Amino acid sequence: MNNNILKTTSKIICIITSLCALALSLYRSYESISWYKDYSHACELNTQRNSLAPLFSPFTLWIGGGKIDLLVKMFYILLFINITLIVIYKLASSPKQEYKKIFILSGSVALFPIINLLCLFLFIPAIKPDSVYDIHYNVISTNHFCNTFYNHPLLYCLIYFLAFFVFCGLTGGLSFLFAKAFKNILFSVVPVFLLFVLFFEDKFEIIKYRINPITIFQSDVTFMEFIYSIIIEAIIIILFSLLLFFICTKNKINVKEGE
Amino acid sequence: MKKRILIFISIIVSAFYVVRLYTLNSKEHFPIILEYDNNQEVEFENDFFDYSEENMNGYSITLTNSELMTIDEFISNYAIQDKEIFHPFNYVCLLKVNVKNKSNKDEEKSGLNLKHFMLQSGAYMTYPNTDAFAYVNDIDFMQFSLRYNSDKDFIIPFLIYNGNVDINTFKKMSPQLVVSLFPHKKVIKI
Repeated sequence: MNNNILKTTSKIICIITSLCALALSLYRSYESISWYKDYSHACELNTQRNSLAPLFSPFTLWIGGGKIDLLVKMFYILLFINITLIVIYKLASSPKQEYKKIFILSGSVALFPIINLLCLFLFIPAIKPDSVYDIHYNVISTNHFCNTFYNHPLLYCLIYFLAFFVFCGLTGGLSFLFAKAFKNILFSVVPVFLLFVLFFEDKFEIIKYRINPITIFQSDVTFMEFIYSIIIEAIIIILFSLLLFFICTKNKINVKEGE
Repeated sequence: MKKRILIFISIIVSAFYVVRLYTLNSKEHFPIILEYDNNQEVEFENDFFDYSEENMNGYSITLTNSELMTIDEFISNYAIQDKEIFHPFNYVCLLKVNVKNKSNKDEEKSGLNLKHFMLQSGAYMTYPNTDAFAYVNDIDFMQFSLRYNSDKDFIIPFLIYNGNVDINTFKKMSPQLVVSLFPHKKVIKI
């Protein structure tokens, strides 16, 4: 396929998916702020019951805060689609691309959930979650980083963002290496395509809910719960990237400084 | 020139963001947590757990002693025959408290429900065990009211399972007894 057509098409779709992701992120912010306002108003009217204030905090109401619905699923699907589009666009613009740059650009999709959290901080007080209400958060004492969630919730979110950034970066890097190794830009869709095959796999729930990163990254709570799955998958991606890197080097394709 | 304008706009936006964060988080939206020490009398006043109908007004509680022991020590100390009911728990935290009715004359519509009390340590929290409560206090109810101007000692047992919390982490995270949640969360450090 002509690189110019690929470049223009990927650019347009990338802009559309980014705008859609941004719109979903902002819509969830608006919804969360409305929930908070309605609840505060109801609490002001009725002081005879526990307001459960820590449940209405940016740390629990942000888009990756644990409530998984259609909006959240669509949001994360769009982010993973964006990774491939970024790689296609960059390779179609100029084949002389560095792995490092692709890694950072792909990882930058992690900014979308951060925008949502930052918006919430402007309207909802940053109340710390309290473990006496743990049943509402799904973060119990057996979960990884549970003490961080209750004592330093912002750090808990930052760990998630960092992991999401690295994972998206690695996925983008793998897409880039696929395209390089097979000398065809369209091969860059393979890693994310495989993730989607797993995501829409209905036969084996274990694959969908405990292994697939698109599902696991849908909330910081599920990410912490299946953190070992993500670590193992990241290692597999790194090993696979090294293999492709080796193939590229053997075929005299320079992926460090551009072809 | 463009770069300078961008930097200027970023500084303005960041400043606005910080000011907004500061003003929003300095208002009285936060739950008020009051901490008390061992042997310090805690008055419930108008505080409650879920609903104001709990009516603990006029009552007070003092944590006089706390003890952490293994489940085997607990079973032998209290000569408990039916050991199976405490499976799979590994430890027991016994909190000796003194409850007083200092000023509540409405004995029928007030009182305490010890089932609501919680032992909290970092991310871990648990409720009292009703079976163990019956063994250590010789009574099988945890909701009661006291006569005006009287007091009574109770031992509140919290069972701990290693699978839920590591005992060293439990000790390290400064455990506390939660005696009310709203409008003030009152906790007694153990």
